[in-house]
Amino acid sequence: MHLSSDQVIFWQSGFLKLNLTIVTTWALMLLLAGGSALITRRLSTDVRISRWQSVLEIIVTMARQQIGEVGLEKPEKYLPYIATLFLFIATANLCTVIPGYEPPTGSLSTTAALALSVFIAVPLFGIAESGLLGYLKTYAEPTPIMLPFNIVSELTRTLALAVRLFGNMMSGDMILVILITISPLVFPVLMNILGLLTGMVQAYIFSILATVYIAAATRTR
Amino acid sequence: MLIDWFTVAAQLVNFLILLWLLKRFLYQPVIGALDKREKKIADELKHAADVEREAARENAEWQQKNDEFEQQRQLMLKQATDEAATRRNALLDEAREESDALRSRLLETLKREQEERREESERRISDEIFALAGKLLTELADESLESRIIDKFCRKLETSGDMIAGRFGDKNGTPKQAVVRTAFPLDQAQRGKLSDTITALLGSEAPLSFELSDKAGCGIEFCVNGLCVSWHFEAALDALKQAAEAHRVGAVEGDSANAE
Repeated sequence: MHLSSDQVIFWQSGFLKLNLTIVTTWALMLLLAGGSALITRRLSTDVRISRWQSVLEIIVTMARQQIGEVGLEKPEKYLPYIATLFLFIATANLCTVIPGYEPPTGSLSTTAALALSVFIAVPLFGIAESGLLGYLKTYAEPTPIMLPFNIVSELTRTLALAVRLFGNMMSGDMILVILITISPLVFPVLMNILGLLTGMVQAYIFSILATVYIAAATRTR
Repeated sequence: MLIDWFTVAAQLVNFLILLWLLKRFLYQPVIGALDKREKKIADELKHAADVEREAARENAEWQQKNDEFEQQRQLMLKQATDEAATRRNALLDEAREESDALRSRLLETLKREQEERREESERRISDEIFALAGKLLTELADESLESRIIDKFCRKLETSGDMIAGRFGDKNGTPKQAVVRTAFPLDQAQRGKLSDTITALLGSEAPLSFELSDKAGCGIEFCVNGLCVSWHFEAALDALKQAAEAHRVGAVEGDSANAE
């Protein structure tokens, strides 16, 4: 029994290694990018569209709408980043229905990488929107006394993002494994269904929090 | 250790690659398609609005034309009605005039016919009475009516001869042509008697001629220098008619009095 898919290593050469997390991520990337490319190869601009195109349009439209509702003025600008976060996490979590699959989001390395991306993206978007000085000023608001708290908040929320997702996904897996040893019938299935719901909720929470952070950093005064 | 930093870095890179891939194969094409469709729908809606506006404009134009046409129609109808009324009045006047003319002509014709009929009936009555009197006289007194007329005329000439004798003569006392006109032919004896009487009246041998004429009526006429002495059966007939009329009027008045 291993705690993280990072521990399943296929190949290693010094610092470089190829573990299950990376391989699964590549598979998910292939699925997402390949599926999208396959569907968007024949896009229709007519009123009648294919079912798959309709699914993609719903996803994109919903993401755009959610971003707009949070308060970002130009949803198209942030859509690729936020929607990719959501799609990647959601797909990674939904695939838990496949037997033997271990979600990369169950690895703290992956969630830390995603949280780091948010940690980097928020200042970038903020600077792009209101300039370096304008962005830095937000740390001293509402009063300069808040500066240390804001900096600490910046770090802790990143940590919280990483740990929240990891904890949820890892615990789901762990509970499943433990339940199988106690009660091999019915309960694991129920827990698996619950795991799907939790996975979707976590994907939503992660991406919406990232949106909120970006909105906070880019809000105009 | 739960965090493997190489995996963190690798996953970060993986995420960036996925971001680029999805941006390339998902967001851009889908957003492009959505925008195109929205634009298409907006264009179609705009086109529909344009068409609707055009239709409304055409409808308004058509309505206006229709109104104008209706007004024109009403105007033409009114003109036609007025013209028809004028023409009708003119025709009625013409017809009335023609009718009046026809009526007056008819009345005139009727009057003339009545007059002619009256004259004809008078003439026939006169002829009948003349014939009847002649027949009665011939049968009762063995004399002809013509002879009695001549006798009567001669007597009239004799009695009133002095009064008219002077008028028949000219300045020299000798009359010119004297004419005796009768409605019936005279025999020799009758001519002789008349010649004698006239000669005695005029006192000289005047050139005397005898003419048979309708103008004399049922009688005899003697003219000299435009002056005439005559005896007409119509005169007697008129007297008879007046007497009959007087009798009729009296009878009618009597009936009225009885009725009252």
